[in-house]
Amino acid sequence: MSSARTQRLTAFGTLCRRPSALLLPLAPFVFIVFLAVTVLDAVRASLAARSVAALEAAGVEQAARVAQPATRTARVLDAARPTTRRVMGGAAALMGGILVAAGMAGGTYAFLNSQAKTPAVTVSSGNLALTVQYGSTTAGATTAIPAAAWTAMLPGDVVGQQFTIASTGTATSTLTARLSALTAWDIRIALGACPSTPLTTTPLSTTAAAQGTISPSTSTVVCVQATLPAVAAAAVEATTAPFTIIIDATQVPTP
Amino acid sequence: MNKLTKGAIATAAAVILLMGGAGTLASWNSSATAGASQAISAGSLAVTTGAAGVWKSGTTIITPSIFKIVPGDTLTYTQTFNLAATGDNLLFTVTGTPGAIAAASAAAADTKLAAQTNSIASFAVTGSNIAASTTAGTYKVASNSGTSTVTITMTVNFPYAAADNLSQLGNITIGAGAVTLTQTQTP
Repeated sequence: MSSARTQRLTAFGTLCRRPSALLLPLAPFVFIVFLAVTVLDAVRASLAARSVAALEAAGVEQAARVAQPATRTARVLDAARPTTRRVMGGAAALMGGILVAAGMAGGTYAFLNSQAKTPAVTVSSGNLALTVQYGSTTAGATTAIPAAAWTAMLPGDVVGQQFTIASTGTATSTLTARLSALTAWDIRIALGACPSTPLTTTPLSTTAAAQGTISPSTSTVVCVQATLPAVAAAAVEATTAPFTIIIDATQVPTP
Repeated sequence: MNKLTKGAIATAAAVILLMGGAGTLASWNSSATAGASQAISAGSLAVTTGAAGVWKSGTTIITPSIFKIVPGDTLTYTQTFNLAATGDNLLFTVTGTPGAIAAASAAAADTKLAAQTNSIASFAVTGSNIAASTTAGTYKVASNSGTSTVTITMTVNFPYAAADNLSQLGNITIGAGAVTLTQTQTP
């Protein structure tokens, strides 16, 4: 493409971006057309007045009156009738309005600038869920541990049972455990199979206590031991005490 | 003033206006050439994408489309842009705009994830023909030959403290970030 053509295209682009640049050079022509129409209208009115005077001089007395509309309504209509002068005057006023509006909307002149972009992407969040399962029951948010092993306990007895917790999802998490309510029995839990000896950890309370971590998509056996303390009150004799262990898994940030 | 007079004045005004473009009549005149013909070239300012960028989680390179973000994660995207700037007096500013985070759909998890994540952008300008100017963030062309690069680092944060379970399995889109060069007159 020749440089002259490139310049013409560039100039055309500038005009397209800024309408006022296209309209501004037209303003003098619009003004000249308006003046010319004004002059022509004045000459036409003058010639009409002269012809009426000539007719009157020739004895046509009603000529001037005939030249004017006969009724008031007709005169009002005549005053509102669009003449060439009024139409062109309106056009000139409209043009002026357009020029002012275009000038205001013209925006800023462009200086050197450039921009490049990075590609867009989609990111998904992971998830974390913990299930509990006793024996061959279905894993879920709750599981029931049979009480059969914990019946007829005497002070000093320690009986443990096992259940399984599983972490599904994508996040590593820490585990905490607590009881929904305290009972006369000491309840202890520990990750892993039940030992043959009593657990030495602090009995669970209603305050959450840390129980270690669990990796995503893994499961582990948990031992829960119920101990009837040797110093249990006589009132505990022949009673039952349902308990609920609440295990929370909390996601930990990736190191 | 009668209409004929008005008309005459208007005509005179029109004639004077028309005469304005007709030029002056020549009287004695002379001219001499000032200097020899010269060619002057304009400078340029352009930024183009360089090599494909890299997404990382920590120091591990990841593929965003299969990565599962969790609270506490910080993803970074680093990409290099080629900077072409010529002009003996060219001053310009560089701005890095991070990609906007938007929920992939109107699903609750998506909108929650979008609300709990944020993105910021930082950038570094290096090159042989670019030098820092007086104003911070403004650069000047030190030489009209040579190349420079802009390295933008976009960081997407999923703050640990602000997260909750509702944002699990959500999807967000991270829009296109941008590097913008803008000429300035302030040194």
